[in-house]
This record gives sequence, structure tokens and C-alpha cells, in this order.
Amino acid sequence: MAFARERGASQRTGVMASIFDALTSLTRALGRALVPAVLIAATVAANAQQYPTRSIRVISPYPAGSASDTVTRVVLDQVSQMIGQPMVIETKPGAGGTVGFGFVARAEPDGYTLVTSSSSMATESVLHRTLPYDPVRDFVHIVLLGTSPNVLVASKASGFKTLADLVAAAKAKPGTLTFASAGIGSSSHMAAERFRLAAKIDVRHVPFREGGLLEVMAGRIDFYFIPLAAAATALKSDKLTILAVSSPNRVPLLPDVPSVTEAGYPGAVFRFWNGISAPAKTPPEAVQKLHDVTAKALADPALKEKLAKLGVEPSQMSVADFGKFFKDDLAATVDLAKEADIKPLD
Amino acid sequence: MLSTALTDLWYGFGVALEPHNIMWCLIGVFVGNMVGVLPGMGPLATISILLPLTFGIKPVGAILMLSGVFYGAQYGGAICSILLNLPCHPPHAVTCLDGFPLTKQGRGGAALGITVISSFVGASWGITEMIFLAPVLVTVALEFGPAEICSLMLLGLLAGSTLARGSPLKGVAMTIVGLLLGIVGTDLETGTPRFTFGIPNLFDGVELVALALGLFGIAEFMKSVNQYSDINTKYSNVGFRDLRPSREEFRRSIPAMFRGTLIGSLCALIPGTGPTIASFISYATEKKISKTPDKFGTGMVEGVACPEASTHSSVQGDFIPTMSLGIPGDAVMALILGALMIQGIVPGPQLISEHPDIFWGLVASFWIGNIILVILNVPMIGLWVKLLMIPYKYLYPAALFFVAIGVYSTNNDMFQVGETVIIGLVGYLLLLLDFHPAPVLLGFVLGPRFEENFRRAMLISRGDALVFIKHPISAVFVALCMILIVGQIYVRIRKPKSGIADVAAAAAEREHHHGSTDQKAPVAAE
Amino acid sequence: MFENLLRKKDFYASMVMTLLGVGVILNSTTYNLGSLMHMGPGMFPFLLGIVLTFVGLLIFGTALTTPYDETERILPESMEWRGWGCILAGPVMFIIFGEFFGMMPAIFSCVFVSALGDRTSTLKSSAILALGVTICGAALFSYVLQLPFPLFKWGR
Repeated sequence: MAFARERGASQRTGVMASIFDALTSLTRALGRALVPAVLIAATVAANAQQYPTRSIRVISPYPAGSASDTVTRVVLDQVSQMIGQPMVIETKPGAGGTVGFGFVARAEPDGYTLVTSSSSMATESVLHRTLPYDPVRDFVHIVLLGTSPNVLVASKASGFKTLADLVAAAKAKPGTLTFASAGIGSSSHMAAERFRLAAKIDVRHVPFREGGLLEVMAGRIDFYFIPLAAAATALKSDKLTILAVSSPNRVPLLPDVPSVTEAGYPGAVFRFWNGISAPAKTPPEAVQKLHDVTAKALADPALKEKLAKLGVEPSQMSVADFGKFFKDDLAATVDLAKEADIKPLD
Repeated sequence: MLSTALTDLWYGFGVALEPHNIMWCLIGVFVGNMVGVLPGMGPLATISILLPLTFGIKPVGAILMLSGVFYGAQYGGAICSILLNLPCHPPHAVTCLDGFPLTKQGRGGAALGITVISSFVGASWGITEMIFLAPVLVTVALEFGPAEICSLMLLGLLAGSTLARGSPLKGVAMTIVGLLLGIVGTDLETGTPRFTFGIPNLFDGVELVALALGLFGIAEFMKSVNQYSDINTKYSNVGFRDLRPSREEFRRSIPAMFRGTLIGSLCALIPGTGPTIASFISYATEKKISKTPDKFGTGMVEGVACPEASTHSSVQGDFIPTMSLGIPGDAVMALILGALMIQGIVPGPQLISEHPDIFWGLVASFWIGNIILVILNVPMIGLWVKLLMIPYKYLYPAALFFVAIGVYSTNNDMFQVGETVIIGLVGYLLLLLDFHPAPVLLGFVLGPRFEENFRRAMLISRGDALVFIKHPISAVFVALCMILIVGQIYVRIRKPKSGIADVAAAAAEREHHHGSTDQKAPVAAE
Repeated sequence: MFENLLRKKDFYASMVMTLLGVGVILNSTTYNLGSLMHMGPGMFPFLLGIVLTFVGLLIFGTALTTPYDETERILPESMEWRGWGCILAGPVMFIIFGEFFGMMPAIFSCVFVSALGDRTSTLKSSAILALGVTICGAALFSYVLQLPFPLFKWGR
């Protein structure tokens, strides 16, 4: 109908008028299209800002009570307060975490199902030939919560006072010293392997389900790379000597303990990391929002203190950087497995 | 030393009796008790849910509450075992053996009463031990290396395989089945998955709760469905006196309580042995010592008193290595430890000196908590017994649901509910063939520890099998094993029974256990 | 000795155990056996399999030697197919409905189906029982115990 009117008008005035009329009709058409477009854009933006609108489910593939599980609960408690929606933690342990990771890889990528990822994601991909997920392609790694090194403790009975003593003893009697771990693929195992390769010593691995530290205290096992969280206990024990920390620098919890780099073995650096990941196709706005809120939570001094007591050093890393960090960690773990001759279990 | 301990304890009571601390203790104990009644749902899940709550409250209150959940749950666990033959938690599986027959005789209330008393006695001893003997016992615990634990497990397996009534051969077979089920999962030392048939949910093994509830729960339901149980009629005219244990029953259970408590406290110290093992060992011991071993399984009060006492004393004693060494005995302790560390408290030898209010307040709260639990539970006995008045046909579907959700809630894994169903079916078939399920649980719990420690002992000693004899404690256990075997054979030969079966059985036992006398190759027994 | 063998419980008992033992032996050889001193993953189950087979054969021995007891029955007096089927189906319903539809349908279906196992139950009585347990169960496990199990959901 409008066109009829336009034509009627242009017939009266000539070329300039017709150009003017064309422009007018164009803008009107655009306007008619633009208004809904703006509205749609506004709605989309509004929805993105509104995320999350309901409770978020976070799968924790670690046994209840383990360090990773506790760290997750502590951080998410703060995040859920800041993000305004409950974050329900569902502990789904099994097969070193692969059950939980596989579950989330297949979950709806709507931003309401997340998983607490950790170094075990890399370790598991080395230990199993086939996995129900691809650690890089099936996930978007949102935010790194923090890292935690391991602490090398030796039994008092062994008489080692410094890391050098241990290395010397190991070189003098290859194959006699033993070290404990919390199981194949655990942080204590990996840290010890890195150290073994860096120091080029021949020591024997004795895995434990529990009670490994007790054996070291009793003097039956020579050393153990315990998680930093457990180190506070070791400090006060008169049956253990703390030899080194597997981080590049000293940690505030143990100011008198040298780092492995200081002791001359930079290749022994090992840090266990905890993070939050989501299925790969999760909308980027949700990812960014989660990242930003968590980053803010991690900057909170009270939370930092709690994490410090658990031995975790919080980090601030962008989504893209975390993605790269994950790939690097995976590659490093694959290399370690090759060098340490850790074969897949199945 | 004694006087200072007493003054500290007095101080502890002062801390624990502060109004807000009593409140936290009460909450913890109550929640724990209620959760303990539900099959499958354990203190672990509850404590992890309550964990964020503790961030905002003072450390004393936090640990009082969390510990209360832990030992409170043990009080509730015996109820279903006795009344419904359904063990809520694995340690209470043994209580079913004599508890349920007691219920069928109309003495269920009495059994519950004995349980509460035994629990209190066991817990009290555990607490006392914790106070006065902690440092000594910790030293003992450090002496238990892989060789010692291995021989102890062997002793437990030998003693416990004849746990249940019925043919000892079948008991042995069931123990082996339990051992095999325990092997399912990834091998600790090499990481190879064994008997998992490629199913990732089996990589961590069969879940203990699924096994216990399937064998004792589902199999039992299948046996009893449509068999109108006569429990209802016995309880329709129940008087108050029937709810209380008789003088005779009480008298007989006292020595059993003390023996159970002793065993439980020993098990608490030895790393790797928990309430489940404690209850099995004390039941087996009680049966062996008794003058009427054949009556066990038909409703002997001793069979109810001793496992409960040992469970509770071992649960209280579990706190010792956690508090004094900082090493948690199991996952629940690890969680409580984590909660403490978040608050900035580091458990260890210095805990007593640096945070006396926490340590002594905790110890005092154990007593207060246990007293509260007794006060809570005794009047409730009548209530629970009334539960039996509900016709079985309404009871078992509800119980089945509780079983399903209980198993699900341990690991949020539906696969394990499926495990329970399959185990239940197989368990029923075994029941039909006169195989009793209890030794399966024993083999399942002890077996992996036996194998793990055997291999570890070999690894550390570099293949020297004599290590089991060289270590004094281990040698004692091995000697006890020998005495047990010789005793069995002797009893068998002395009995005037003839028959190929018995001679064959004796020969078989000699064959089985021959391995452990062979110095070159201690064979996995049973 | 061999008469009535097939009627004796112990015959079947021994068969089960022997077959299981043999199966275990065969399966455990697929793992690295190692030596007795340095046991591989397969050694312990291998030994257990041997012992179990042996025990199974011994039980067979008792089946041969003990006289046949006339009153002995292997199968129970009444074959409760309906009861057994419903009891086993109950938790299976719980799994299926719980995975796809949430806690409340799971509870309802589990209790409803298993209640039907009793011969004197009616559809109505089972439904009422199921409803009652569902409401109480949901209140207990979801609100009080905060179990991370959604009450209702659709699909995985």
C-alpha cells in the first residue's frame, strides 16, 4: 500500500524525487526489519545476562572427602552465592574420574551441567587406551581454580636431611629405595615419576590404597610425595622429614623447605590443578559469565585463605589461556608417560 | 599423667557443655541417628552435604556436629538389621544373624535394648581408650606393617569362614566367592582391571553397600514374599516388659559386650581394619568361645551384643589415629579432617597442646553425644517395634525403595542399584542351595586387604617369604592360624561321626591350609 | 550313592561352585600371573579358583555320600514367580525412571511394581502405598537430605 502512495508521489516530482522516495522506502523497509532485529538482539543479550536462571549441576568425579572434592565445595560455595543460583555438587566417583567426565561430555551443553576437571583428566587419557570422551574436543575448559604442588617427605628413620642425601643414597644402591603413592596415576605417583626421571635414580614404586603415610612414618617405605594439603600434618610429625616441594618456588605454608628447582631438579616440578569445565558446545556467554564470577570469587581474600589452608594456590587465567594450559598439561603428561614407561592399563 | 588427663577432661566437659556446643552435638547426633536407620545412606554423604555449613561456625562446634553424625549413624544401623534382616550398613550385617531370629521369637524389642546398651558400653570404652592410651596405642599401630596385616587378615578369614550356620564346606566356598568378588576392579599394584568385562563402573570394584543390601536385603525379600510372616501376630499384644531384655539375657550379654568392645578397640588401632571387620571378628570369636556354638544364628543375645559393642568401640577408636597422627583411617575421617583443616586446625601430636579445647571438647562430647543417643533411642524402641505391625506386604516395597535409593546415594550411580539387583538374584539362588551369605561379606572385605598386603610385603622384602615369620607380631598371627587349623582338624577327628564327607573335609582343610605352613609359598588361604 | 543324585541340593551346589572355580581359573590366566613370590594380577584369583574348584568337588563328595533326605526340597514349596519378578523389577523401574524422569516417578514405579508382587495386593492398594512412600521419600531425601537427584526431569 505504501508503495502505491510512493509511486503516486514520485510521479509528480521527477528524478530527484524518485531517488528520495527510493531512499525513504528503503529506510522504511529497513526500519520494519530493524525493529524486530533489535528486539531479538536485545532479548538474546538479556538472556545471556540472565544466565543462570536455575540451579547448576556440577559433577565432581572424585570420591567424597578427597582433596579435589573439598576444594570444589569450598570454591563453589562462594561462587554460587555470587552468581545467585545454587550450584549443586553431585559426587560421581568411578574409574579415576572417567565415569564422571564421560557423563558430562555427553550432557546437554546448555551451561547447566559442569564438571570439576583436574590433572587427572590428563592422567586418565594416558592410562586408558580408549575413553568415552576426548579430553580436548569434548570440553570447553572454563576456569582454572588453582594449583597445588606435592611435598616430598621421607621417614626419619632413613636419615635423609636434604634432597641431595636421598638422591645420593638412591644412586649408591639402585633399586632398593621405595616410594609410596596413593595409586597408579595419582598426583603422588606422577610427582614421584617426574622426580625419578629428573634425578635419574632407580627407585621402586609401592602403591597404596590408604595408609601410605603411616608406612613412611614407620620407616618401612623411604619417601612419599604427599599433596601439600597433607603437609601440615607432616610438619608437626617427628617421624617425617620434609625434603622438598615440587613447585618452582617455595610455598608460604612451608617457608623452610626448598623447592625442587632450588635443589637442582627443575624437571621435577609437578603441580596438580583443579578447574571447572563444561561440555564443548556450551554457549560462550555462559562460559564467560562463569569464568568472570569465579575469577572474582577467587580474588576474595577469605576464600584465598581457605584455599591456602588446603594447599591450593588460586590462579587467574582467561578461558583461552586455560584451554592452552590444558593442552600443554596433556602433552606434558603424555611425554612423562612415555619416558617413565607408564603403559595404558587396558 | 592420670590426674592431668582428668583435669583436662573436666575442662573438656566445660567446653562441650556450653549451650551452642551442645546444640551442635545434638544436631549432629540426631541427624546421624536418623541417617543411620536408612539403609545404604551413610555418614559420608551426609557429612559432605553438611560441610559448607561448618565454614561459618567455630571449629569446636563444627567438629562436634560432624563427629556426632558419624557415631550417631552407628546407633541407627542396628535397627533394620534386627527387625527386618536388612543391614543398613555393612558393620551391622552380622547383627542380622542373631538379631532377626530374636525378632521372629518376639524378642525384637529386647534385642534392640541390648544393642543400645552394648553400643554405649562399646563407645564409652572407645572414648576412654582414646584419652588414656592414645600415645601408646599409636606406637603399636605403627608396628603393623604389611606382613602383620596380611597374617591378621588370614586369621580373620580362617576364623570367619565358619561364621554362619550350616556346612563348613559351604562356608568356605562362600568366603572364597567373597574373596573373588573383592578382586573385581583395578589391581592396585599394576592397575590392570580384573574381572571387569570392560564395564567402567566396575573399575572401582563391586560396591560394598550394594553387596550387603543385595545379599541380605533383596535375597531375603525374595525368600519371604508371600510367605506370611508370623512376626505380626507376636507383636500385636506386646507389653512394655517384652520390650526390655530379661535379666537372663542381660546377664549373658555383659561378657559378650566386653569382649566385643576389646576386639573393636584393637581393630580401631590397626590401620585398615574398620567397624565391619571388627564386628565380624568379634562375632566369630564369640561363637568359638561359646559353649553352645551351634545355637548361634538362632537368636543368641551374645550374637547381638558383641558385634554392636565392637562396632561402636571401633568407631570411637577410629578418631585416635586421625586426631593424634593426622592420618585418617577412612573416607569419613578424611572428610572430617578436611573440615578441620579448612578451619585452620591441623590434627597431629600437637593438637592436644595447641588446641586443647577442640581435643578435650571433642572427647567430652563423645560421652555427651552417646548419652543423648541412648536417651533418644530407648523410647524409640517401642516405635520401631510398632513398625513390625505393618503387614509385610506394605513393608517390603517401601524397604525395597529405601534399599534402591540408599545404594544410589553412596555414589550417585544407578549402575550400582543394578549391581544390587543382580547380587540379590544370585544371593537368592545361593540361599536355595543352602549357601549362607554372611561369609561372602567377610571374604569381600578381608580378601583385597590380604592380597594387597601380601604382595606389598613381598615387594618390600624383595621376595623373601620368611618375612611373615621374622616379624614377631606377624609370627604370632601365623601361629594362631596354625592353632586354629589344628584345632579344627582335631575336633573333626575326635567326633565319633564317620562318613567319607567328614574325613574328606578334614583332608580338604589340611590341604587348604597346608600352604601357610609351607615356608616357601604362603598360599592365599580359603 | 548315585541314585537320586539329581534330586540332591548338594549336587547343584557343587556344580555351581566347581563351574565358578573353573571359570575363574580360565579367566585369571588372561592376566599376568607372575610367580608365587612376585604375584602378578592373575595369580591370586588363579589360586582362589583352584581352591574353589576343589571345594566344589568336595561338596560333590558330600552329595554322593549323604543319604537322600525325602523331605529335602531344592526349589521352595511355591514358586513365587510373580513375587520374585516384581521384587526384581522394582529397583529396575527405579533405575529406568530415575535416569529419565526423576526421583518421584522413580520412587512411585519402584514401590508400585514391587508391591504388586504380593498375591493379596490390588492395583489400588499398591498405588496408594506407592504414592505415600513417594511423598515421604521425596520429602526426606530431597528436602531434608539434599540428595542431588532431581524430582522431575525429562531425558538424560
